[in-house]
Amino acid sequence: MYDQLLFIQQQLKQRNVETALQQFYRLTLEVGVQYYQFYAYNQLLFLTNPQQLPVGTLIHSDCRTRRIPVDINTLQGLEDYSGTISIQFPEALTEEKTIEFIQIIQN
Amino acid sequence: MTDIRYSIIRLEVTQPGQVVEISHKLPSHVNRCTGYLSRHTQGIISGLDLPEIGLLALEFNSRKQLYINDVIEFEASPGIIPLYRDIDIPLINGQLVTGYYLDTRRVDSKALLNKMFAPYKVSIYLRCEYLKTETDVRSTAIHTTATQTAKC
Repeated sequence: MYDQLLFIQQQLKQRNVETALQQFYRLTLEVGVQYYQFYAYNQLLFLTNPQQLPVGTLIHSDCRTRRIPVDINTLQGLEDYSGTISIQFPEALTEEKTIEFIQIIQN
Repeated sequence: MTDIRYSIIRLEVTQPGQVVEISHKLPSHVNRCTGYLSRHTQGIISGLDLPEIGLLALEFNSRKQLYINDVIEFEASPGIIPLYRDIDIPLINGQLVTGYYLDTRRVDSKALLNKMFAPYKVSIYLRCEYLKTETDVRSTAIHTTATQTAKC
């Protein structure tokens, strides 16, 4: 977690992003869900647990898109998503999934 | 006095639903992007126009600003050469243009899509400007004189 926070701080500094608030954001998806869409405008959501998502999951947003590969580790998967975010699983979920983000609210 | 430089970013899509990441370094002397154009250039063969084959996002100045979100279409018989879309993006020297292209072609059956899929290319054209300074002009003039002297 320390590595992730350090990486995020550096990213925000390099990109001149002024932070109003930084907090954890959890999204729990129920059994049977294959596609989920939500909105995150004027904020950045850094995905912190990509290794717990099924291989082939597509996370798509206005600024970034990522398909979860076989061999992902937490730091490689630490991308930020913003705007309209959609999550598409390769198959409908057979168990409940919690997706964790670090949410950065921008000034 | 401004001079124009064109940059082309070529993307190759080899699998259905592929995400192609873009990371392109513009020449460090350009300081403004004024035009943008993106289109399918090679690969897809179809008698019908396809309104959406992919989604494109471009960020400038090393992820500092997201400026372009676009839908890429396929024209079966492209007629008129498309014009550049006007943009006005100030650039910081030597920074990256980043983003992604996501293939979104939809076919009812996944097996059919895999069978029908052929790799294709999408090109992004950027029209950028740089301000010519007096030093640029003077150095060109010196070079010409030197060449002439060498010829003599």
